[in-house]
Amino acid sequence: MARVSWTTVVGGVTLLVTAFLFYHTFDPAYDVSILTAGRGPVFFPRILLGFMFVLSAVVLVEGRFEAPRAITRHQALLVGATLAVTGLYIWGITAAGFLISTVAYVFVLPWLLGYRNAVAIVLVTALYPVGVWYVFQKVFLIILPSSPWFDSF
Amino acid sequence: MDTLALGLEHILTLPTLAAIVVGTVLGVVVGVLPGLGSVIGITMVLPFTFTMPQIPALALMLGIYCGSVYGGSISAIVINTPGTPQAAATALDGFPMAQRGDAGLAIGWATTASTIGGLFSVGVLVLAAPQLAAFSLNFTVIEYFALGVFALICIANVSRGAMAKGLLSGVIGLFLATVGVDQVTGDMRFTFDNFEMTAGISLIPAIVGLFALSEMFVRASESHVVKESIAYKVGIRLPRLTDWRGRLGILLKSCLIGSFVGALPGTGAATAAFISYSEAKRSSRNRDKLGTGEPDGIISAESANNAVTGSAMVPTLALGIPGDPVTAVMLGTFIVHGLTPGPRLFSEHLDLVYAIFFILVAVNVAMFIVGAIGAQAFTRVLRVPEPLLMTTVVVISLIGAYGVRGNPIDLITAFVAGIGGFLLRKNGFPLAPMVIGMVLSQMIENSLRQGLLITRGDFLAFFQRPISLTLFVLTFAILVWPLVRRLLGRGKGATLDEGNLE
Repeated sequence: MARVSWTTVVGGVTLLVTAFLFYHTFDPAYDVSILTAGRGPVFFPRILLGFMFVLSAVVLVEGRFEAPRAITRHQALLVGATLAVTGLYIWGITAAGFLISTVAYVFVLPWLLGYRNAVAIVLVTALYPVGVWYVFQKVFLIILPSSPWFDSF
Repeated sequence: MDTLALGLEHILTLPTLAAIVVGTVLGVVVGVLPGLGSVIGITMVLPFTFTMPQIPALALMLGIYCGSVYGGSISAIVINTPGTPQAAATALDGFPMAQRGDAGLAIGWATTASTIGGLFSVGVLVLAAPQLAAFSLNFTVIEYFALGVFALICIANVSRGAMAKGLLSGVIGLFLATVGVDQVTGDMRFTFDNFEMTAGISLIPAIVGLFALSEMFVRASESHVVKESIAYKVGIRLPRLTDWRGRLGILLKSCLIGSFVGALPGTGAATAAFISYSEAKRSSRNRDKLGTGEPDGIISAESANNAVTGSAMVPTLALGIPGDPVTAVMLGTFIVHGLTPGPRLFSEHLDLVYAIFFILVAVNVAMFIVGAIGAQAFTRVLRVPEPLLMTTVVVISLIGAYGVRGNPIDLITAFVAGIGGFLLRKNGFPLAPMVIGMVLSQMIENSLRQGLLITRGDFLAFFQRPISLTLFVLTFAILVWPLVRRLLGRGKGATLDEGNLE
């Protein structure tokens, strides 16, 4: 089986999503007002989805002429791990609080990205999250998500 | 005259002056570091501005904007790696000068040319923006619809060789902004009964994801790590007045090119710098030496890219229509701070407009002083290990995404936008049209629906008004021109523009 380029994949996914969203615009929930004379809430999105459908098809076809981009196993793992760690961090901000999750993130991410100076990582982990938390929470009075286990942070 | 004095009074306060200096310094730092750039710089400082008064907040962001365009030239000269795409042309002559031991002088030329270019463009902004705002009072919703479509098509079309991808990116941006409450009927759209989604997809978290997070994912995919051990020791040596003899023509021409290109939607500072450099290569007295370390090359690139900063604000301030992602972010942050650009800004808050003019003048002066004093310190910033830098940038940017509304859904939006931005960038989709699409979506939709009400559903009536007809004809011409070029067999030449450089 011939390998397809990532552009084809992106075009194909966009095409499918667009088709689903276009179908969704015919949901009875959108038949809300006769007064809008046919230009109700999904009037403009339908036009956009029409354009998106055509353009996705064009991109999909264009992708057929692009050579598939080779990606090494190491690169794929690194990107996957970075995505996973960042996703966990964002989940952790609301689940465990900004400070705790940021300490963990700042410790793990540089190491993951190939940085091996342990002293620098520990120093930055110790100072940066606390500094940022203090500046925003105490000086700029921006309420950051707090931990469910501690009162002050 | 009173409003002029009031505008000046706005900036002659300690917080505003401090914001100008801090913003410019941070901007230069962000510009020096390859891959960060103006958009990430502005989104990084956004959370700091939430509790600041309006004028100092604007001063901080304008400082970042102008400082980052200049800052890119320092790394272009010292390590042959432009800190921002705008400074790519500067490396062509800046780095050869550094190689022969004249890095300080090259930075001196870049600093002086950047300042002159920036100040020139403020003049253009002062002259052109009020005129454009006054002219736009003749606009009805139909003209605004035509203008919005024109701006979007211009930006999407910049991505030559990837026109369908650019257009698709723009339309996706338009669509994303329709999620949430319909402004006309109040109905929910594409929320799938999720309460958090009713607030819609906010611009700032999307930008944080598309630019800051995707930058980190891209770097992870390329395993690109800056070496720590390189020692950069560079000062600054300003050119003598006599050195300018024979170069003033190039300077003026580059300022004019930068100002003109900057005011056009979809172009940007990188395009201006390369057009200007090409012009210098054609008309400079020293054209034979260009590319070997000739100051004319630095002058043309740096004065042009900085001349974009003021003129790019012309359509942004006068019409509320941004010309590139940087001004789109600026527009978004202006709105966060209760300032809605457009013709009414000029009629109702002229003092604020004057304050912005004065801030831009002050920022450009500060840029010169900061560059002259701190060039050596800025090159040291390049020693910061990239993994540490990216981690700290992501944390601050995510606070910016969260802090606008304090809604955790914005963090998820940023993350999803980061993944989307990564996939799109890796496959040659430009991100600029998506951002501009998100900014323009509400205006285009509302003006289309209101226009159809006015014309009783007759879309052809949109073509009966001279201004809108002109804009539609221009839009059509821009759309078909690449096809015509391809048919004529001239579309295969290499093009270098901001879309590609992104």
